[in-house]
Order: sequence, then structure tokens, then C-alpha cells
Amino acid sequence: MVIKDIYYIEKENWQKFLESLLREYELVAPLEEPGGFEYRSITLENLERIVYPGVRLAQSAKFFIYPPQETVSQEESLPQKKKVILGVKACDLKALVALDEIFLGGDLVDPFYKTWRENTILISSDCPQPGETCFCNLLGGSPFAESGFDLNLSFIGDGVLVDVGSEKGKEMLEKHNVSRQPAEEARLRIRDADRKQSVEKLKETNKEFSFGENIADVVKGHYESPVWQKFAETCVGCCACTNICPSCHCFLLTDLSTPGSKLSSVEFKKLRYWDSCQSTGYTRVAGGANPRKKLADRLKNRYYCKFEYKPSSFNILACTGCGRCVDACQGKIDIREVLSALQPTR
Amino acid sequence: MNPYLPVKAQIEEVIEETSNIKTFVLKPEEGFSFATGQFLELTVPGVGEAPFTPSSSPHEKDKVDVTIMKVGGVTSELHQMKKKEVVGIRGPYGKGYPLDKMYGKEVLILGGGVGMAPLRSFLLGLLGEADKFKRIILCYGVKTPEDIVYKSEFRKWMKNKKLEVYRTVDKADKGWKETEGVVTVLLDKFEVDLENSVAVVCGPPIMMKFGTFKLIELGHKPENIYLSMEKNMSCGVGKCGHCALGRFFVCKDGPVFTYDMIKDIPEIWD
Repeated sequence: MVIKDIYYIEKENWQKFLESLLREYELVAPLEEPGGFEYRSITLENLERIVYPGVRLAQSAKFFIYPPQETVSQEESLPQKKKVILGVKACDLKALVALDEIFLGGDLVDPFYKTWRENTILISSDCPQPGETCFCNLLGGSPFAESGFDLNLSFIGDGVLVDVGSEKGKEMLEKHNVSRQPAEEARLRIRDADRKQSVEKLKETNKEFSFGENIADVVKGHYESPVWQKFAETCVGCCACTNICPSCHCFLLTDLSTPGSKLSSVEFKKLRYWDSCQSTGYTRVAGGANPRKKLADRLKNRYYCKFEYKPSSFNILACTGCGRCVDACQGKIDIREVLSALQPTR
Repeated sequence: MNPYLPVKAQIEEVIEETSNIKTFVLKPEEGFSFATGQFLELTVPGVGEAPFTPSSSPHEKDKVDVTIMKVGGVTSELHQMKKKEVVGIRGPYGKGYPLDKMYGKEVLILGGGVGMAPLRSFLLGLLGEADKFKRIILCYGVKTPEDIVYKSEFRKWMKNKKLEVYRTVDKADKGWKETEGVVTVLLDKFEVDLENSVAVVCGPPIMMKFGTFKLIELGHKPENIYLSMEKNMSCGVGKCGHCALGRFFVCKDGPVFTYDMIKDIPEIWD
């Protein structure tokens, strides 16, 4: 569905709209906290403190749709009220395309993911200040969302341009009756100029890196490369890269069932939490055999998963260039350097 | 439907196969049918869950056998469990052995140790419609005669006219009158029609590796060699990532693969 509506809304009216949303939805938005920008639950008390950072937050939209830990045996763990996430970024939305493939695709739909996904409304915003570790431009992305959102925000001057991306977004604007006007050509031109500027900034930031001619071939034929061992030398196996990643989907099911001697007394309960291919035990089978015993094997797996296995089995690139793993890495491993090092020297 | 929630199954019988292998005959509360080679996730309530391939006939509808070696946390707890106690099962998952592709052919089964478990199911599947196969050969290797599973059934199988059985042990004892040596030596004992045969291999990784290499050496085609891959499947439904084998998820693309499908994946024997 292509919806081309773009409105201009004065900041004051946008704020009234958010206030109105609070009556119907649970609203989550970035606030400036001592540790930086963080998603917080919004109430009338902190509504004024909502900010729209020019770059992605440490947390991605994944945290809200596929929580780090959840019970997957009881229906009551599912949301009561629809949730609106404000301020997600283009990279988050792209990552959700990957997660959708995994959890909603195939023969079997994950009912928990599906419920969270359907009950979450995504309001994205442009990235006028992409960070030093952002590299979406190298993977075909851009610092503003073109799809996957319900509403997208581009702030210009005293107002905001609002792109309507879905029927849900459209209904929300109508129902909460926000005072809006169709976006004028002049304002769209300003936005285009802003967006172009952030693209230029990204290009400048990443000018040292090159992933070869075709991203589909970025790791191809490099399984035996010494690059993996070289970069694994500083890896501490902390799994921060996969935990912070907006598109990593792995989890472990653990058992919290109540045992019993009778059929009627046994009650099954399963908990799932994010797991990481970077942890030693991830591929270990009973008896101790483990195909990925070494750090370098596990580091390599992450790249093969994202750039080779997912594209070939699911037709998705499982990296969106958000660069969160670069920020999170204790060993200062930069995914851009790893991918560039694999390419023949220019 | 919640794919992560097991159904209850009562342990109807516990059969001691060897000092560390037991077969549990389970009676699920709801019907449980599977294609031979598919696996299930078995929950020991309060302890954990692990994947196993049933060892019973796919023709059997209200009971399912699992033959389990005591090797880790879940299996050790399971080995403590007694008749009438309750476990959980969910599944079946993945793709089993394509019996229909084997009709009219010579079927060579190569098993090692507790890897005989899925092969028993497969064999019982074949024997259930034995006339559809040109020939059935079972080769089985274990460390010592004591380690043989399904001892009483083997006696029956060895008398079965539809079946040729060859067995070997790494280390024989006084009473052992059959072959001594690693399982691959059995493959030199007979000839098969390479143009019209399939081989099905299951066992410990090292046995799978050398078994497959030997088959290739003898001229078996990679697309006719079926392997049951052991990985630590957790969700069983292609979501959790644990059983990734190159671009495949063993839980949904396997656990049965032809060697041809996976031969270029570096991690397969580890």
C-alpha cells in the first residue's frame, strides 16, 4: 500500500496530538536522561520532555516488539493496550523487515512476536545528525525512513512534516483530529536539502570503508580468510554486538514447568530470552561437541549469518548499518573495518 | 496455536538398552504422528528440553519411543525417571526420510551407537512396507557387544528374510562371532547396485564423517546419501537460530539432508 500523504503540523499541535494519543495508547518516546537519550514510558508529566534525537538511540525498536525475555506459554503476557513507539529510525524499521521474515515467515508464525508487532505503532523520525558509527549508506540504506513506518517525522523550523505510511497512521491522525495542512512544496524542498546533507555527512564519515562492488558478495569466498582471527584477537565474547543488534533474532527456550507425578499436576511453562551466537555454549550439543569453539569461528559466524546465510535463505540482508555493535563492542571491533579488510586491497 | 508448548506424555515403559542408553515408551495425551526421521522436543518438566528423533515405527499412532543416551543435563534427569511419570513432547519437526523416493531401490542403512535410534524408526518404516523396496541392508557398529541397542530386536531382524544385517564392534569379547573393526569395514562385505540405491547414515559425528567418505569412495552418489544431522535445536520451528548449519536451519530444512545439500558447509562434521 503506497500512501503519499504528507502533512505539515505546527510543533504545538503535534504536542497536542501526542497528548491525545495518551488517552488511547501506551506511548514510548526518547527522553534525555543522564546516560544519554533513552526510551521511556510517557505520561502527562514527562510529555514535555520528549526529544527527537538526530541519530538512532542505543535501543532499537526490536526491544519493544521482541522483548529480551518473555514467557511464551501464557497468553496474559500479551499487551493490553496498543503501544506507540516514537522516534524509531530507518535502520530500526529495516531490521524489523528481517525479524518479520524470521518470526512471521515460514510454515509457522510466532504468535508472540505477531501480537506485539500488530499492537505496536511505529512513528519514525529522520536522522539529521547521523553518528560516527552509522553506515546505513554503505548497505543501501538512508538516514531517513522510506517505508515500514506508520508515521514519519521530519522536523523543519517550527513544525514537523508528517509522512503517512500506513492505514493505521492515517486513522490515528484523523481520529485524534490533529490540526494539519498538506505539506507545501517549499517545505518539502527544505526537507530534501536537510536529508541530502545528512547523506553527505554519512558519506564523509564512511569514506575510508568499502565493502566491494556488490554487497551480496561481501563475505563470499572469505571463509578461510585470516581476517577473522585478526579481529577476534580483541573480542572478549561479551555478546554485546548481538544483544544490541536490531535484527539478531536468536533465542533460547528454557523450561520453568512444574513437574508432577500425575498428568494433571504437570504444568508447562516456557521462557525465552535472547541468545547469542557469540556465546561458547550456543552451538554446543549434548556430550560436548561444539563446531564453534573458537572466538574467531563465532565472530565469523555473525558475519556469515548476516551477509550470506540470511540473504540466501530469506532474501534479507540481516545488517542495516546502524553501527550499534561498533559502539557496544568492548574490543573495539568495527564491522566496517572487518568487511573492508575482507576486500582485495584497492 | 502456541508452537512452544508441549503436550503431556506419560512414560509407559523404560527399557534398559545398555549401561547408559534407555528407551522410553511414551504415551502422549493427544495423538502424535510423525514421519520417520522427523524429531521432537522432549521436556523434562522443571529441568529442560532437548531434541530427539523417535525410534519407534511411524506406523504406530498412539505411542512413541525415544532411545536416549545419558550425556547431558536433560538426559541425566530423564534417566532417573520411572514408569508413569510425565514428560512433555512437541513436534514433530523438520523433514524426515523421503521413503517414497526410495521405493524400488536398494536401501543401505549405516548406523553407529545410539545413532541406531532414528534408524530403528526408519527400518520399521521400511519393514512396514517391505515389498516396496528392492533390498534392505543394515550395517551397525558399536564399541563393544555390550553397547548394542535393541538386542532382542536385532535377533528378530537377523532372521528376517527381507533384511540383511551386518554388525561390527570396535572391541570384541569372547562371545562375539561377528565382525570386529570400525563400522566402515562392513561396507566391504557386500555390493550394492550404485545406480539404484540409497544410503542412510546416522551415528556419532566421526562415524558419520568416515562412513560418508567411505560410501563416496565406493561410488555412492552424494545425492543418494541421507544424513541425520545432530544440532542443538531449541525452538524446533526455525526461529531461534541454534541449529543453523550454513544457510540451513536443521530443524526445518533437516534434520535429514542429502550429503549433496550440505557437503560444502565447513561445520558439518564438528
